[in-house]
This record gives sequence, structure tokens and C-alpha cells, in this order.
Amino acid sequence: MTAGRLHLLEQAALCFEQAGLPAEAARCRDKAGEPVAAAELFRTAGELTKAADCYRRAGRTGDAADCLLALGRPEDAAKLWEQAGDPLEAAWLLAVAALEPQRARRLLAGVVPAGGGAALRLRITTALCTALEGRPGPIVTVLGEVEEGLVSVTPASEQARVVQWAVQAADQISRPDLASQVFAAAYRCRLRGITSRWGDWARTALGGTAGIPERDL
Amino acid sequence: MSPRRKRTPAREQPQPASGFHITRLDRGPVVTPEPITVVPVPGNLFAARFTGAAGVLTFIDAAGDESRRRYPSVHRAPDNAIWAVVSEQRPAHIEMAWALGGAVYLPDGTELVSPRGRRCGWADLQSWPAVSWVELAAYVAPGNTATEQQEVVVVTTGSLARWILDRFQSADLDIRVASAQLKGMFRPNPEDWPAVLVRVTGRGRAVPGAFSQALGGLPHTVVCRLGGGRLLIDQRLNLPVPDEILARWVPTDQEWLLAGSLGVWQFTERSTEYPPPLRATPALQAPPVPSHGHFPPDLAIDVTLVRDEQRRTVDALLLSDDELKPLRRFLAGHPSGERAYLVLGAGWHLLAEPGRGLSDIPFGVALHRVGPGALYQEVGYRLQPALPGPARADFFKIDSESLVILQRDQTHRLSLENTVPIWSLWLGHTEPADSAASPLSDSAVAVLEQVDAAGVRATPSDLAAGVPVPELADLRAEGFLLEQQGQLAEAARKYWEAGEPALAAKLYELAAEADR
Repeated sequence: MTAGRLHLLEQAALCFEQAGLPAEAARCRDKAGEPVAAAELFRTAGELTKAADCYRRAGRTGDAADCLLALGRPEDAAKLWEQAGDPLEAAWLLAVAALEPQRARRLLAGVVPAGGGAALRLRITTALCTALEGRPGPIVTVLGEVEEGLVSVTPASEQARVVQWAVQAADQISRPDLASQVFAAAYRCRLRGITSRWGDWARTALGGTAGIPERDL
Repeated sequence: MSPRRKRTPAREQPQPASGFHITRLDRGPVVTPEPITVVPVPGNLFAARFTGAAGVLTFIDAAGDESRRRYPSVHRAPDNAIWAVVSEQRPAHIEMAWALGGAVYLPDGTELVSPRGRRCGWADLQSWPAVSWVELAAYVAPGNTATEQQEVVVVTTGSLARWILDRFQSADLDIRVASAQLKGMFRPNPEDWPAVLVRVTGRGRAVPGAFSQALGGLPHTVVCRLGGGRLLIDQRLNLPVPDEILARWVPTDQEWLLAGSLGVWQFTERSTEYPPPLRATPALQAPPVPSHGHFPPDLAIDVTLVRDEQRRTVDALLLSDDELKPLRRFLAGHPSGERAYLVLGAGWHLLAEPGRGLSDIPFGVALHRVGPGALYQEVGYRLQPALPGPARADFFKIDSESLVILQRDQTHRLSLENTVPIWSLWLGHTEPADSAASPLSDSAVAVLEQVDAAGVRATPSDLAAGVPVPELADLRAEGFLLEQQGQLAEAARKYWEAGEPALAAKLYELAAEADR
């Protein structure tokens, strides 16, 4: 592709954006070989399927999966993770969003966790599958372990992920008390930005933010 | 038996109506008319009469049933029309017969009758000679392209065969030569054709298309594929019936050649095939000093438009004077009425929209912009021979001031200077507005005096806002002209300046596509 063509496509995309046609702009960005910019524009235009496709081609599996989840297609999102070589994420989506514990278990069979955080997430997923099959005992235990083991998880992004999964699992079995305990543990670990997430969760799950700290430690 | 036939003998011996009676003097034997064998038409068949043979083969294949090997029977009438008789009346087949140019005849007693009331006796029809499908296939016009074959047979004259051998012996092809004697078929005066057969085999791959192309244009030369063994078929023929089924019409002990425009031939003699001997060439000499290079004088070629089925976008419409009035009525209230431009010419006008987004308008001739510059051609056609961009610009004298339109049988040149917005169609002749407003009435003057005395006259409000700025309209028109000249990026810039980013974006995109 020549530089002139790239420049023209860029101009076209800018003009389309100016004209209030983000989907067209996204098409031009995609033609110009900028799938991430295209995906974001597609997302703005509400064309999540195309956005997911662009994210996938750009190798941004997480964003692509988010788009598919927003479209209500958790199984496709799980497939993306599977193709990207992350069966744990795929199994998690199958369990928490598609509510298919059997299929999730099949994927979990070969998973070897890469670190402390991944090990915790694997246990959360396995326990959630058990809970979905009607036995909520293990998930309560695992969430207790998360509360204690969160301190030793590094890096902070992995900590945040563990917290997110744990909270979603607690929500799934309708135990906001367990979710609050996990948030409290994360707060003690000085996880950045945890209070705002805690507050957001509390507003929808509990209907208010009374008793939740205002600022991070 | 039809009632009409029954009455006929009764009319020949009329009963005396009056008292007169004429006694026959001639006592010879009374000649009774020979009984006509009257065969009623089987009720469930129909026949189609084709004046040309071209569509018949397609019809046969459409109405036939290969699994039961039941095909329509084909007869030739004394007036040379071809009749196809289908043994089962299916509405789809009847419609197909009409579509392929046939006239459908349905049974009526002992005759077949067309919707126009023409009749044809069933017994006559059956007595007419059957027509070979191979003869029908000879009326199919050969196409331009051929699929590549593993093996082809070239039937040609001796001197051309020599040329073929010289030219292609060194290529990666196996060549065998044989002599053959052919006799024309299905013709009142069959000719003889002493020919040479060149069998060409690609060594493990297909014979290149360039080879067949090179030979396809030679006189008295046919490049054939082997269609089902006993029938050689011109490679460029694209027949509706599979080759194997067509080859069933060749008697088992014969070999036929279906040679496209050269007709059908039968091989009467054929020798064994020989590999051509290699020829020794005389000693080489240094070439002479080159003289001034020039083309041979007889290279001139006609450029034509031929039918093409490729899908093309409609970028503009060509309108005649008569179509402008209905167009005006159609465009009132149509979104195109705000955007489109008209390039006026002598009797023919071009309607185009910026950004090539011509909405569906049911008038005029649809045009596709082929470029370079403002070169348009009718949709559904292509140039034969295909010309590259610079050649088109040179041949059709494209410049930046004119717009050239190629139609099937004519060309037009319009001047881009005569471009007007489409709404000029509504306006007709306008007079410049009188800039002085109409004089105020007495009471209005009185009010103004009071207001001025109090010093509270209001500044003009935004009542007059939204008047289009003439510069913007000019920019838009300039953009349209640049677009017609093929300067898409510059046109896009103008549209952007004229406050139409969507149009600008579209043109930038088109420019990017052109830059590929």
C-alpha cells in the first residue's frame, strides 16, 4: 500500500468522522490497516460484531470478547479465548456468562496455571462450575482463600483480575457478603482504584454505598 | 376425428335441391378421394417453432430429461424453420420456449395451433426430416475465451500447419501431424477440405491458452477439444449441451468436426500421425544495421463496444431532450434534486451526482465512468479490444474541459463549462432580484419614525439566516468539475471546504481506491 493511499484513506476517515458517520470512518481505517482504530470507531457506531472482528484481527482478544459479551454471545467470546490459547478465560466465560458448567469443565481439564493469580482463578472457575451444578459449598471456601491469598498475588493487574472474577462468582451465587469481603481484602492490599469499583458494585448490588471507604488506602 | 373432415365428402355429391337432375354421361368409374389418414395430436404435447437455430439447442437441453434420455424431437420445416416437439406440456418449458425466441403451438384436433391462430398439421410435422443436434450446434456463435485443455487438435491448411510447427515445436508441447480429408455436412453443395491435423499435447499440463488464442485468429484453422471421442469441437464453443451427449449424434464408424463458424465436417480419410522432423537451418549471418522503426501500415483497428455481463456501478445518466421534462417531474421532492448536476450538450445531457451516488432514476441510459478523466461508457458494454487508460485518453481525445460518452453506436462530447445544478430545470429563465425593497406604507413609515425618535430600532434578527453563501455553492460546483476530470483528491478538498464532509470522505475513499 502506498503512502499516498494511506494518506487519502486517513483523510476519508477524518471526514467521515466529521460528518458523523463513524461506521464509514471505521471502514476506511480498517482498509488503511488500522484495525484497533477501526474497532473503536465501530464500537462508537454500535456495530459491535464488526468491532469484535477488528479487535480479533488486531490480537486484542479481551476487547473482542467484551464486544461479543455485550452482544449476548458468550459462547463466541469463549471460542475467541480458546483460539487465542487461553482455555482458562474461555472456561470462565462459559461458566459465568453462558452458564454451561460441563463445557467449561472440559476446557479446564488441561489447564496448568502459570502463577499464583492464575491458580486462584482456576479454583474460582472450578468452584463456580460446581456451584452451577447445585453445590455452592466449594465456592464459599475458595472465596475465603482468595481473601487470604490475594496479598501474595503479583502483579497488581493480576490481583485486579482475581478480584473481578471472585466478585462475579459471588454475584452468581447471590452472596454479596462474600463479594464485599473480597473487596475489603483488595482494599487492604492497597489495590489502586478499588474503592471506585467497590462503590459501583455496591450501588447496583446493594443499592447504596454506606460504609464503603471513600478513598484508597 | 374432427367434424370438419367428416363433412368434406358430403359436399362433393350435393343432393339436387330442385327438380333438375343431371345424369352423368361419363360412365367411367367414380373416383373416390383417397381416405386421408387422420391422426389426432396426442393431447399432452406441445411444439415450438424457431426461426433461427441458435436458441433451439438451449431449449432442447432445458426441456429434456437426461436421466430418462428423453429429449424433444427436432424437425426442419420446408420453410427452414426448426420445430421442437416436447412430449409433455409443462408451463415452465412453454415459457422457456417463448424466452428463447420460439413460438409455441398447442394441439387442437389433428393440428397444432399458435396463439396467433397459425396452424400446422401434425402429420406434416412428423413427416419433416429430423435435424441433427450437431447441425444446431453449428449455429452457436463461438466465444472469445476457451478453457485450457490437456490435448487439442488443430485442423488447418498445409502451409499454416508448417507455420504452427515452426512456431511451437520448441515450446513445451508434444506435436503430431496427420493428413486428413474432410467433407462438408448439412449443406446443399458439400465441399471438400484437404486439411492437416496437428495434435498438440501439453506434457503433463494443459495446453497454454496463449497457444489457442494465437491460432484462433488464423483463417481456415480450428482449434478443437476432443468432445466425447468421435466429435471434435471448436474450443471456443460454449454449448448448452454437454459434449458427450452431442457426440452421440455421430455414427459409430464416423468422425465429425464441429468447427464453429466454419460449419460441420466429416472426416473421410485420416492418415497415421507422425512426429514432425526437426529441420536444419542454414548458417547464421549478422543482422543488417537497423533502419528507422515504424509500424506496418495495415495495423489500424476498429474499436467497438460489445455486450458485457460484468456488473458495473451506475455513475451517471445520459438523457435526451425529451427526457428532461419527465425527469423534472420525477425529481421534484427527490433527494437527487438537491445534489445532482446536469452537463448540457446538443440534444444529449449528462446527469451526475457528486460522489457518484446516483440514486435510482428510471430515465435515460445508465453510464459507468471508466476514466481517465470524464470518460463514460454505457453500462452493459465493454470496449473491444480492451484499451488501457492512457490509450483511451489518447484515442478518445480526453482533455480537462470535455466529457466523453461512449454509447453502443455513437459517441458524444459535452463541454464541462455547460454544467448547471439540476434545479435549473425548475427555474427556467430567472430575472435578477430587485435589490431595493418595496416602498413602505404610510403607517409603517409612521411607526419607524416613532421608533427612531426613541432610538430603539432593533438590530436585524436572524430571520434572514440560512441564505446559502454563493461561495459555498461555487466550491461545490468546482468540486463537481474536478471530480468529472478525475482529480478526486482535489475534488474532495473542495467538497470539504464547501462544508460537505461526507461527500469529501467518499471522494477521498474513491481516490484511495484509484491509487491502489
